[in-house]
Amino acid sequence: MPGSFFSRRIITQKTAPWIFVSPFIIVFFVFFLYPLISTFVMSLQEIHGPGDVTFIGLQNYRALANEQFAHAIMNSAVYTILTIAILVPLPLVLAVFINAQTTRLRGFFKSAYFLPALTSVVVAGLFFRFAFSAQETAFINKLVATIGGTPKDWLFQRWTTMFVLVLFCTWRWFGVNIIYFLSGLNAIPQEQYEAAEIDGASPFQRFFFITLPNLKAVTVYVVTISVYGGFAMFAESFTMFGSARSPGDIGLTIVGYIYLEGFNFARLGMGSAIGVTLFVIIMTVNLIQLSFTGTFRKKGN
Amino acid sequence: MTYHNRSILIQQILKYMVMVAMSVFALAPFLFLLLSSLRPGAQMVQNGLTLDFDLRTMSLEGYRILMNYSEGLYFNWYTNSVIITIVQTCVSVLLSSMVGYALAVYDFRGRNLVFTVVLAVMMIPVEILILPLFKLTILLKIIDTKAGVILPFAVSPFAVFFFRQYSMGIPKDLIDSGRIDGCNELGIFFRIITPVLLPAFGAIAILQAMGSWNSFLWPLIVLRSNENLTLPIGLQSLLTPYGNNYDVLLSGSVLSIIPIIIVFLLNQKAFITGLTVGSVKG
Amino acid sequence: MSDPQNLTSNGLSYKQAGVDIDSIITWDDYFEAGKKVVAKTGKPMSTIESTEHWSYYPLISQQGSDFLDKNGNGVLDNDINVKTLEFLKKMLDANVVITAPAGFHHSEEYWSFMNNSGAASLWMPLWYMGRFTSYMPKLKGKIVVRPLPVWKKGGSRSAGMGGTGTAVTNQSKNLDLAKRFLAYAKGSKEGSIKTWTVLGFDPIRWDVWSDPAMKAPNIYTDYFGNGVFDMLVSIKDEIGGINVGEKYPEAVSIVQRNVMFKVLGEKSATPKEALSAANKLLNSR
Repeated sequence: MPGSFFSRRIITQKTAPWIFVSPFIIVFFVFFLYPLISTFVMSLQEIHGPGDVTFIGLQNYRALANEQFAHAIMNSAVYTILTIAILVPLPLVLAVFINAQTTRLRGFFKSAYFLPALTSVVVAGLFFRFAFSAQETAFINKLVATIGGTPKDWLFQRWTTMFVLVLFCTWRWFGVNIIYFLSGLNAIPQEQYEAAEIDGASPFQRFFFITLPNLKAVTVYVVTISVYGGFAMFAESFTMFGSARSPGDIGLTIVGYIYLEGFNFARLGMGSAIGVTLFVIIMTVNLIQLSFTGTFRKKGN
Repeated sequence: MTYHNRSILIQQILKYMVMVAMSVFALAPFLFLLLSSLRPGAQMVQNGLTLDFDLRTMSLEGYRILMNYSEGLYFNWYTNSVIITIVQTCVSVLLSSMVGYALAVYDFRGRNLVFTVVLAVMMIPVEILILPLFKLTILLKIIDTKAGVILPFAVSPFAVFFFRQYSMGIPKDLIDSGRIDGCNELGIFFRIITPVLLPAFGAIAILQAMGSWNSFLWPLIVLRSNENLTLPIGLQSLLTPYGNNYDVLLSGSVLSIIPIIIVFLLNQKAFITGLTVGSVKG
Repeated sequence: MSDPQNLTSNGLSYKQAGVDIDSIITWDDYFEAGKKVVAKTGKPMSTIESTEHWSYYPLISQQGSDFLDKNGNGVLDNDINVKTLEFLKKMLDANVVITAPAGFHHSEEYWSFMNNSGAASLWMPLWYMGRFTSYMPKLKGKIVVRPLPVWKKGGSRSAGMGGTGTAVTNQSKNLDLAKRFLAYAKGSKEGSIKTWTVLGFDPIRWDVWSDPAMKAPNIYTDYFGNGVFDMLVSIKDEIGGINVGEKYPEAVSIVQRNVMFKVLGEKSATPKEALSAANKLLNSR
C-alpha cells in the first residue's frame, strides 16, 4: 500500500537518509563518542565511587612508569609481532595449497581449518590451559617426553607462556586468514598464470612474481586486523590463566592491565589512562599503515 | 617415472602432509574435549588433559551432572546466549543495513561525514572504552541485563561498510519504480530493497551470530548475576582460583560449541561471503 | 573463621626418615629434620608457594610482624620480614623445600603431586583440610595436623590469617532480618558446629572448640583423626591477628607477584631487594 499523504510529506527523499542513519548516529554518540571523551576525562581523575571524584591531572600517567605496565606493553608488542609473523605466511601458503588445481577434498580442509574460529575463547582456552598443564601426564608434556625432552611448567615462565599464547591464537585464527587469502587468490586473473607458463616460469617463480604481488591488498588487510587483534588481546590470556592475574605478570596484556586496574583494584582513573595509552598506540599504528599504503597508491599502482 | 613426474609426486605428498598435519592441529582439541567430557572430572585434576581412550571409565555422567547443576543454571546460560544472539543479530542486521543502504543510495549533505565516522569507529578497538561504557551502563540502569549487552553494539560499523558496498550495486531503476508507485522511502526499503539484500543479510547475520554467541569481554563486564550470564561467561565462572568444576565445565563446553558448528556447516558460503567483502577492497 | 595456620605432616615419610614429628619444635629443628627426610627418602620436606603468600605471611605473623603497620602503611621490608624470607630461601636453596608445582597449593598439579606423597609436610591454614579430603584421597589416615614450629622457644605456634568477612549492605531490603540471620548462621553455637562438620573450617566461637561434636565422626575426622580441636585449644592464645587497611589487597598482590615470584620462583632478586622495592611501590600508591 503506498504511503499515506502524511508519511510522504515527512519521509521524503531529503529526510529519509537521516532517518535511516539515525540509529547509527544515536549509538555513536551515546555508546562511542561519550565513552571516548569520558576515557580521556577519567584518566585525569581518581575515582572512588559515583560522585566521589577528584581531579588529579597527569598523576595517573606518571604512575604508569611501573614494571607492570612495562610487562603489559612488552607482552602485547611481542605477541603482536609473533602472531603476524605466523598468521600471515602460514595461512597464505595453506591457501595456495588449497587453491591448487590438483588438490582434492578442498571443502573438507577449508571447513576443518575454519572450525577453531567458531569456538568460544573459553572453550579453546580450556583446552590449551590443560593440555599445557605442568603435570607430567598432561598431553603436551607427555608428547615432549616421548620425543625425549623434559616436561615443562608451561604457564609459569615468560617464554613458554608466550609460546602457548601464540600457538593458541594461531590455532584459532589461521583458518579465517586462509579464507581471506583464498578470496584474494580467486581474484587473480588466470591469464597472468597462463602467460607465465608459456614463458616457462617455474612454480616458485609464479608464486613470487604473480601470486604475491596480487595478494598485496589482502595481505595489508590481514596485517592490519592482526595488529588490532594483537594489541587488544585479552580473552585468550584471561581464559588460560583463569583471571587477569598471572605469575609475575607473564600473561599480562595492555587490555588485561586495564581490566586489572578497573575491576580488580577499582581504580577507574588509572584504567582509563591505560586505555588512552592504548588508543595512542593504535592510532599511531593506523597512521603508519595509512601513510604506507597511501604512498604506494601515489607511486602509481 | 620421469624426473618431472617424480618431483611432482613429491610435491604433492609434501603438500598433503602439511595440509593433513594442520587439519589434525585444528581438529584435535575438539576430540580431546569430547573425550574428556565423557570421563569423570576428577581425572582432569589428577592427570591434566590426556588422550586416554579407556572405555571403562567413560560415561555420560558429566552430562547428567550438567543438567542438574545448580537447579538448571546451565539452561539459563544457554537460553541467555540464544536470546542475546538472536536479538543482537536481528537488531544489528536491520539497523546496519539501513545505514549502509542510505550511505550508498542517497546523496545527502553529511554523507561523507557519516561514512568517515563509520570508518573511524572501525579503526578504534572497543577495548579502550570498556571502563566508561561500564559506568554508562550502570547509569542507564542496563547493567546486568541483556539490553546492556546488546545496545552498545546495536549497530556494527563493519556491517554498515558491508551493506554500503552491497547496496552500491542496486540498480537505480528499482528504487525509482518504487517512488513512482507512491511508496515512501521507508516503504521502498522494506518492501523492495530487503529482498534484494537477502544474501547480504544472510552473510552478516551469520557473522554476527557467531560473534554474539562467542562474545566474551563485554558480557564479562556487564553481566553480574549467575542467572544472567551467557554461556562463555558462565563456563568461565566455573573456574575459580580455589577449585574447578570439571564435570560441568567439560560437558558444558562441548554442548556450547555444537549449535554454532551446525549453523556453520549448513551455511558455509554465507560465512565466507561475509568475511571477505572487506578484505579484497581493503 | 580465624584461619589459624597449621602444619600437616605425612606420617609415612617421617617414619621412613626416622624422624619423630613431635620432636620438631622450632623452625631450625624443622630445617634439620628436613635435611634428614630429603637424604633418606629423596622427597622434599615441604613445598612453598611462589605465586601466593600462604607460605610466607603466617611465618612473619607468628613473630608479631605484618605487611602493614597499625596505621595501614606498608612495612614489607622490616627486619623480621627480610630475615624470614631469607630463611625460606635458605631452605629452598638447600632443596629441603621446593616450589609447589604450578606455583601454588590450589593447582591441579600440586594436588596430583601431593596425592602421590610428593612432599613430607605442608603448612597452610586450617581450612586447607577440605582440599585434602576433596583432592588427595590417597593420603587418608596418613596426615596429622600439628601446630607450626616456633621461631624462638616459647613463641607463637600459630598465626591468624584473617578469615572471611561477610557484610550486609545497607541497600538490603530486609536489613534487620539479614543481620539477625548472619549473626545466627555464623555466630550461634549450632552454626559454629556446622562450620566444622560441614565445611571443615574452624568456627569463630572458641567455646565450641571443646564441644564433643568436634570429635564426632565426619569426613574430616576420618581423614585426620579426631585430635584436631584438642590441638587448636592448646594453641588458641597464640593465634594472633593481622593489620588490615586500605592497602591490604594491594599489599597481598604485590607480595605475591613481586616478592614471592621474584625471590622464590624466578630467583631474579634477593629477599632484601624484592621487599624494599615492593614496599616502596606499596607506599607510593
